[in-house]
Amino acid sequence: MTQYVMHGLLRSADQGRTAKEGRCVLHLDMDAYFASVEQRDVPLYRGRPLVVCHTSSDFCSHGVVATASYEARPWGIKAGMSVWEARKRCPQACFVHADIPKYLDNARRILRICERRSHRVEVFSIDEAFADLSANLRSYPPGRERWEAALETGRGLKEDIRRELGLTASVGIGPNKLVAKMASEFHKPDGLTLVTPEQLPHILAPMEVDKLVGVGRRMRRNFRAMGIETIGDLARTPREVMEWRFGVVGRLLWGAAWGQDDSPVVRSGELHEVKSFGHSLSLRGGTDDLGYLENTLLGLVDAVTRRMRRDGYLGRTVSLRLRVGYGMGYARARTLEEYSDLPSPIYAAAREMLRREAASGLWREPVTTVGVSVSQLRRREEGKQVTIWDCLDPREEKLTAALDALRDRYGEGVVTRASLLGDFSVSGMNLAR
Amino acid sequence: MKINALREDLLNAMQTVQYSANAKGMMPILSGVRMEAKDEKLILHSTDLEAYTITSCQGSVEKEGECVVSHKVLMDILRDSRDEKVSVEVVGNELELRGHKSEIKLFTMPAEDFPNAPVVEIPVLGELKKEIFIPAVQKVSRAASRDEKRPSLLGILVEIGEDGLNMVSTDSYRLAIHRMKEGYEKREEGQFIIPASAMVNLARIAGKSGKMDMYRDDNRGQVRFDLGDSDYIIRLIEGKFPKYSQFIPESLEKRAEVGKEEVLGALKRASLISSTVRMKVGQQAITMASESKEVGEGKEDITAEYAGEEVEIAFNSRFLEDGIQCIDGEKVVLGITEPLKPGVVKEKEGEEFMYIIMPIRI
Repeated sequence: MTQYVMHGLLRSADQGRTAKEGRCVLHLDMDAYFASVEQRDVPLYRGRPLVVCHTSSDFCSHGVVATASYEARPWGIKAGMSVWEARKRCPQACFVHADIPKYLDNARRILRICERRSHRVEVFSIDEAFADLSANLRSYPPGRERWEAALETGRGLKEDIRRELGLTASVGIGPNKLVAKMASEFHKPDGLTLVTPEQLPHILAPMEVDKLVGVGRRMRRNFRAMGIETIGDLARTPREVMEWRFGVVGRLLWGAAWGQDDSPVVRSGELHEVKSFGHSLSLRGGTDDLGYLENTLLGLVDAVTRRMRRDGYLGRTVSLRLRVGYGMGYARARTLEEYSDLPSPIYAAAREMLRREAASGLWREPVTTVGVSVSQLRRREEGKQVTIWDCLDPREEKLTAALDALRDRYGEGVVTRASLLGDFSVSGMNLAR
Repeated sequence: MKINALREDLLNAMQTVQYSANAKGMMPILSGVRMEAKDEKLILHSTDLEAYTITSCQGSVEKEGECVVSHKVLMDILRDSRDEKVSVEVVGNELELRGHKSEIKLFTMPAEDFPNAPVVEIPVLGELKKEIFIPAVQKVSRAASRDEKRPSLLGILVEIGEDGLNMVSTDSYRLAIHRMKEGYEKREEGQFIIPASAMVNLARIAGKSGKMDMYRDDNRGQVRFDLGDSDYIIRLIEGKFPKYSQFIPESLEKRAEVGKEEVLGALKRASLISSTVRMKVGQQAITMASESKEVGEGKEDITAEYAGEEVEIAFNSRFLEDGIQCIDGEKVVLGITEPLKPGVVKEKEGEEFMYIIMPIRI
């Protein structure tokens, strides 16, 4: 859940107006959000290791961990780990499906609670939000008193969330989004941390450089090669060196090491804006049988487009995800000429990419994961431009409409492609979630 | 080479060949214009390898010869000059352009590097009336695609058959067709996909009245339009054009008649809010509505004559606007059958031109 989109946080544009003195930003981060919601709703799960999984299988047999409860964390179970590995580490844990609509509903309530305290609330992810308190606290003199008031706001916010929703959150308060976000990480769970600009250098400098937003595994390796281990090391490196080495990103990271971040808290309208639809499947043991891969891909495309049609979206960019052996996965993408929610144009694009990859000769090992996703979405209500090709052959449109009606009435498994019949993993894919 | 000519004549000839000069291409020679003094004429050639223009201008030739100079520079000089007469002479590697008080020397490029004009001599059409053909080209070219991914849609299909001369273009969202029954003499039947951009240029240089002829080469790779004083040779697009005949409705049962200016105005205002415009066609009026989550919403009624049941349909406003702008006269006929069937834009009188537009599914 907590994937840091660097540009969301360290936005270089739009400085000046908001970058002035005396900002006070609050970051709210729900503790083990999905797991906490499940533990609140199901008493059986309380006090036990609980793993919420993103998975397409009915038995949580594959897929990835979405959230692990604090009880499960001593076993080293983390978000993003494969369910299979989590099971191996902690067989006695409870494994449950993620119920995204429920979490979204809760997130909306959390947002409402935040909005009582500030008019500028930015949704950062499903379990995180920023609130700009500067306007609310203007009546307090800058300095100690204002920070005290901010802490009071944070305490009240946490209390409201606990009382009304029965969930705990960690709150960080700082002079900007970056510092607030780092502050909320300090004391988890149920923490409330203030980092003032005066404390900033003492707190940041000794920290490992990968605690900085935007520094991942690869960036850390680059830094290590330059002799940068802590945030303090980074801050002491001349800015020009960082710019020369990493460009714009380098300048932003250097600023971040000094606790600088001018990005404003942008009020966001809709909490959950769909950005893409995708499905992927791990193939146990892997395969290099292109025919099998293509068939699997077809099943995935069917599933993805079915969900797109059900939710009323058209998409234009098709991405193919592949993982070869047990190394890094990679993706290829192609943009269609038309927005579509029909399987055939999306499958055609995905298959062509797959064939090209297969022909590239770069597959030294069998393919272990194949996935497809469709992005660059627009709502179906906005209209779909009909083309002369549709007029020539409206059969697919009619066919999918008929199939959708059948599935709506009798369930997803009532009708499937003949080519997918033999393959349980794809044809049995449960789309209801 | 030495020739004396009127500046205006020379400038006109330079402007005629400008559309096929290629200033930014990979081959520097194509940014030039080849000038050839012969038989009391100066013949100008330019090409970008897709199209080839040949034209001539009158002048008194003192010495025959040829050269290639930068087209853009020479045209700009001639356009800016105030002289009435100019003399053009090649001295060594330079072209000397002498006016009343001025003298300009331009470096030349080797004339033997300049591509030769292709031989395109098999007659296809004769006595083609520009008054009919050129406006038709301008209308039809609007619907041509600009997307390089489907090359055959970049062109206008010129189809010479038993029942007439059809010109068709489509970008898969709309389709324009113009049928000519008269105004030409058929020498041969055939189908040619001619790039729409070249056809637009042809319309620019052809002039408004007079006659022209069309020829093709042996392997149907190029066509030549003989405009009298100039020739325009175009490389054809290879590929298959979609079978357009199935989109053309047999008859227009439900037709609404609207004022051209009124509907254009309403469309323009609707398009300010959203590119999708919804039309509710009723007995007396068409309601044009558009809405957008970010901007707002609006609607406008326009008077219409329509006898049929009410129907609601949505179009892309720009496509519809393009179609209506192709219509001559004050009235436009809109043919609308069902929400998901293509709509038709045509003139009140005359069956030559038809603009078919695919709806937006809402």
